[in-house]
Parts: sequence; structure tokens; C-alpha cells
Amino acid sequence: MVTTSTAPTINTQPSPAVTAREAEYRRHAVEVRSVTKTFGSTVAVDDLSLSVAERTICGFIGPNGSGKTTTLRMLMRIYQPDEGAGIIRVLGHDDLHAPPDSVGYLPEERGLYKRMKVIDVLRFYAELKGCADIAGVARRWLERMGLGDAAQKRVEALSKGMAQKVQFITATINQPQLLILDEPFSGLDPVNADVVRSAMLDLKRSGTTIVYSTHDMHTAEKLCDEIVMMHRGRKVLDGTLASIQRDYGSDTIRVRLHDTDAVLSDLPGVVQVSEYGQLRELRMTPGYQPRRVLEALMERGSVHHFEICSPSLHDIFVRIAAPVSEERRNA
Amino acid sequence: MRKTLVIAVREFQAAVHTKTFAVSLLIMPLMGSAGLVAALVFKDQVNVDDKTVAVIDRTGVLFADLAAAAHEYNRTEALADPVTGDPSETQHKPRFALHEASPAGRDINDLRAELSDRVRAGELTAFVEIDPSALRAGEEDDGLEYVFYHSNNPMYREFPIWFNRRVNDCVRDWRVRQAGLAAETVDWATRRLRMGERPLYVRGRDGVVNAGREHEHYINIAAGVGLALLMFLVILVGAIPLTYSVLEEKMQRSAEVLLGTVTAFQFMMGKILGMVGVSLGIVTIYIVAGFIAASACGYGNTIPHHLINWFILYQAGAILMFGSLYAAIGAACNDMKDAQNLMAPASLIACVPLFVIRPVMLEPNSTFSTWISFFPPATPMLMILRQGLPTPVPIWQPIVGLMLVLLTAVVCVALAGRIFRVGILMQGKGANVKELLQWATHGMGQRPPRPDRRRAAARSAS
Repeated sequence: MVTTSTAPTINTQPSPAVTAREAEYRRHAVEVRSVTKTFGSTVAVDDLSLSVAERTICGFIGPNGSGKTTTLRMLMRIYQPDEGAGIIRVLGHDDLHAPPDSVGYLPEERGLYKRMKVIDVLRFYAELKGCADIAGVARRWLERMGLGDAAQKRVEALSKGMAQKVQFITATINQPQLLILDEPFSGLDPVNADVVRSAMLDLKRSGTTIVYSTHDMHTAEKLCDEIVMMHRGRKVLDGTLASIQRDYGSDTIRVRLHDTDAVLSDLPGVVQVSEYGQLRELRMTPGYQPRRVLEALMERGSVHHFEICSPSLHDIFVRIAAPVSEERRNA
Repeated sequence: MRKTLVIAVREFQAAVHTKTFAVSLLIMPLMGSAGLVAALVFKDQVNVDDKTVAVIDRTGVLFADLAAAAHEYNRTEALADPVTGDPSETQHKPRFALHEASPAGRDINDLRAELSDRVRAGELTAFVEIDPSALRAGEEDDGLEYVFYHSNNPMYREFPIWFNRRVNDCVRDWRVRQAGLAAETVDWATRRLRMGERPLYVRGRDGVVNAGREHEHYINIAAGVGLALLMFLVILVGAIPLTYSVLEEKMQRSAEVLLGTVTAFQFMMGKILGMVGVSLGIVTIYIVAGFIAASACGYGNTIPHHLINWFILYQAGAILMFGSLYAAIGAACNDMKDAQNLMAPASLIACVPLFVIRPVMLEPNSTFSTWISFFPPATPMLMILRQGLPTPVPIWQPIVGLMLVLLTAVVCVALAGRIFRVGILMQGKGANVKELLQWATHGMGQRPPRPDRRRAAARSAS
């Protein structure tokens, strides 16, 4: 608890308690406590609390309409949380009206001034961010993203992937301390996705904290230090991939059989079978006996692959989000 | 402020680095000049078809004189050169053909109905009925009418005005004859004097009193009216594009990128200031061009410089006021159709000064003129108009007017900023007026936490 003095003296030195608290906040690039956001009668974000450690990559996952974009927009001060509903602290600032210049933002909805030249777009955003050596930084970023020849082209002449990379540069041009990306890989081909992913990792290495939302579980598993899953406006998962998987236990068996059409749903302890063509994943009841499952499988034919593993992020996502889809179908 | 200026500079550059800007810069004076030329060219383009009018002369003595007057008119005016007044072969005005419709032996109402039908059928332009007691009337003004002009085209005034004058001349001549007076004596006694209009006298620094320069009045009036109209045009050119600009950014989804860097208010203010710059750029070009033209014509020393300073201030205030309004409309709408529906009432507000230009010019310091020129949306144009007129406006009025305009601009920008903040990211259905008012007063949904509550939340969180 922090106490404040009511004495009418002016002390220009921060108190040790305040300094310690700020230092604590600074270790977390993002600090959200009990934040709620409603639009009319719709609760978009419900009592959300989370923190993102500095110099990490945090992935926001969740089905459409789960509150990811609203949360990111609140971090950017584009939306304000409901009155009295918690605090949002970004890079130690809790001013609700001004996004700090040291935060870069790539929104989900892409949009650049189409008639401007690429170099002018970058110069414009760099000036807004108070960036020094604009020309040099812009040139380096363009070359880094494989857009060296596009500097003098108008935005409207770029392909979608190129425009998206230009927009990525506008978010990162001032080497932000915090980079917030809403679906940065959507619409990118694998080559361009690799370029963006590589740039994100370089930024992380140079000290930038990255928060990004995605539907790409495969990338999130590999890229994120921490993962937050939102569902119906609430946080339902928060932690490292390993800790999340640990919570779910090794309840998954991955198998490949000679007979790809063999029915597996009646095996002992099987709750659900997920088909991936050659490969199938069996979700098992707690306390199942792997040996009995293997024996039962061998009775049905030749077993080429048998692996006891934790559920993938995709699987965990589906387990949480699927009931909603089921409910919606039934509604 | 730095970010606002960066956006303003981009907006300015985006607006002026287009071919349409250069074209519109030329089109405005060209269209204005074309309108003047057209007005000059077509001002004498009148229908010269004869005006055939039936006259029911119930006095029985006036028609002959009226017919003679019409004949004289046709000879000296309809066929006269409009500039020199010399007889001409070319007809410049319609001739008047008077036909007597005698009421003798007829029911007067039948005759009136027949003539009315002939007017409706297009055989006659009109018919006139002169009351039988017209010659006796007028010894004392009894307030009654004795001559009646019937037509189905009340907008045509030339013949009724001419006839009214001539019938009075004829009655006067008849009365003179009846009184046995000499016509020359009566002409001399009733001859009217001409009055010329001149400006006020001015006392120079050397104490000498001189007559004011006659054309200076008109130059000031023309400057005031011209600047007021220029202001209206520049409001349209400078403010309305803000709606389209904001709407375009909203539709292209580029607004959110900026909102990640600047606040909604900075974003909107940057756009508005950019357009203020564009507007002032336009008026500077026109004013400089006007100076050059006036100097070339020898009127360089009569240019009302004091008006220009006020004009610049008012123009900036007007763009801030209307610009914020149009920017908010752009943010609140999702397509051009929605925007046009909301822009119509906003444009009507901008047109208010045009509706009252005439009464304000006639009585620039009347109570009505004074109060209407303190109505902020009308203040910039009307105050400039009044300041251009020869009747001096008390200095406190433009100062108070300007303060009101700036205050209104601040309120407009603040309210529009709230609408802008809510509307700029809103997709789907456009907002109605009720929702706009709600956004302007309360924002959307919950308001941001008050600082004391945020501090309390921060303490509990830590």
C-alpha cells in the first residue's frame, strides 16, 4: 500500500516507496488490473487482469469476438475502459488519453494513405513519433523488409503483402519499447510471414516487448514466451506454453495406423478423436492406461506411430472455444 | 501540438498537391467572372414581343391620350438605342399596343370575364380598367384605387409601372385643361429636381475640408460583399472536403493506424488545421490577385486594408467552426449517402448569412443586423460585410464577434472531438442525430475513469 503525504511541503525527490513501485511496473511492460469494457449492453472485456514482462513476446489468442482487439485498443488508449473499472499501465504510464510514442501499433484493419509514396508515409509516421535520422532509419527498415526498391512507389502500387510490410515498418520505425500487433501475419504469404517473424524476433532481442494477437496457433507456439487466451471477454489461459500444457497434462495420444479408416472412438478411455489425414489425435480420460490403448490399437492393425504427448495449443484452443460453437449451432 | 502540426502539414500537402486543387483554384474566379460576363451579356436580352393590353376607359376621355403616349413610347424608347437614346431600326424593348375595350352597352362583368379569358388564352398581355370617377378622385387622398391592372403574370412589371405613370399624367393634363391653366406653367411648377448621392466630407490633417472620394464607398461595399462571398465559397471549399477526407480514412481503415500514434483530438485538429491552412492559402492567392488587379486599374490606394486583417481572422475562425462540424459528420457516417444527409443541415447553417445580406446591407447598424451578426455561424460573413459598408461599425462589435466565433470554434472542436473519437472506428450503421448528441455530450457507453478513481484502483492493485 502506498501512502501519500498531506503536508504542504514540495518534495521534488520521489519517495523510495514510489520509486520501488515504478521499478516494479517497469519490469512489466504491460500491467492490466480488473479492466472491463462494455459497448452498450455487450461486455467486450470482462474483469481482465494480466501482465506482460519486458523483453518478451506475448501472444493473444482466442476466437473471433473474444475481446482481443478491444484489449489491444485499450492498451493503445484508442478505447477507454469503463469508469472505475481497473487500471491499464503501459510502460509505466497510466494516462488514459495519450498513447506513448515508445509504443508501436499495427492494427488489424490495415490502411495507409494510398496516394502517398512509401518513403513519405514512413517519414510522416517517423515525424509523428519524434524519430531522429528519419531517412536513415527508413532506408534500413525498407532494406530489412525487402522493400528497398519500393521507397518511391505510391502505396496504391504495392501488393497487399508489401503494403502490410510497410505498415509493419510504420509501427516499428522508432524502435518502440512496446510493440502491439493485431493479427500481424494475416494475409501474408509464408515468405513474407517469415520476414515479419524474423523482424519481430530481432526487435525482441534488441529490447522491445511484443504483444500480438493471432489465430495462427502453430506460430504462437513457436514464437511466444507467454500466451494469453481470451474467451467471451474473459481471460481463460495465461502462462508459458509449457505451463499451459502442464495444466492440461499428457492426455493426448498421437497415432498413425496402416488402416487409416479404422474406427478409434470406441477404444478404452478415448474422449475425442481428431482426424488429420494420416495422423490422428486421441484425447483420453484422466488416468487412462496407455498400454491398454496401444494393445487395443494393435488388435486393429499395424501401428506405425504411437506418441504420448501434451495437447497442442490448437487443441487447447478448440477445447475451450468449441463448446461455444456448439451452443451457437444449437441456438 | 507537434503531432497535430505534423498531421496538419500532411493534410495541407495532400490537399494542395493535387490537380483538382489547382483546377478549383482557377475555376472559382473563372466561374465568378463568367457569371458577371453572362449577366452583362444577357441583361438586355428581353422578350421584345408586343405587349397588347386592353383598356376599359370608363371615364371616356383618357384612352386617346394613353394611346398617344404608348405610340410615343414605342417610337422613343422601344425603338431607341439603349445607350444613346437615338431612334433606331432595331427594337430593344417590347412595344405597347393599347386596344380600347368600350364598356358602352355591355354588362361590365361580362366584359371583364371576356377580357380575362383573352388574357388566359394569350391574346392579351393584360387589361386595365379605369374607374369612372378617376377624374374626380384625388382632391384629397381618399386611399382608394381608381385604376386596376389585371394579368396572369404579376412578375412582369414594366408595363404596369409605365401605365401607372402615364395614366396619372393624362389625368393631370385633363385637369389642367379643365382648370384653364397654361400647360407650360404647370410643367414648370411641377417639375421635379434631381438629387445626386455623394459621400461624406472629410477634414484633412491640414484642416481643409474636402468632399469624400465618390467611388471609395462603392469599392468598400464591393470589397465587403466580395470578401463575405469569398468567405462563403472558401468555407465550402475548405470545410466540406473534411467530411470526405475523414470518411475516406474511415472507409480505407487508415484512421486506426494514426490513432495508435495520436489521440483522436490531435488527429481531428490536425486535419482541421490543415484545411485552415489550405483555406488561408486560397484566400491569400485571391486577395493578392485582387490587389494586383486593383493596382493595375489605378485603385491600389483605395483598397480597404483594415478589412483584410479582419477577414483573415474571421476566415480562420469560420473554418475551425465549420471544419469541426464537417469532420464530425465524416467520423459519424459510414458512407457518402449518410454523410450527404447530415451535411445538408450543416450547409444550411453556413448559408444563413446569405439569407440576410440584403437587410444587413440596407440597415447595417439596425438592431436586427447587430444581433444577427453576433450569431456565431453568421458572424464572420456578416461582420465583414458590415465593416465594408460606409456606415461605421463600433469597434467593440467585431472584437466581440471574433471572440464569440473563437469561443464557438473551441466548443465545436471539443464536441466534434467526442463524436470523432467514438465514430471514427465505428463500422456498420451510421449514427443518427440523437446518437450524435449523445456522443457529443457523454461519449459512447461508459466514460473514462475519473483520476481519483484511477488512483484508488492503482492503490488497490499495488
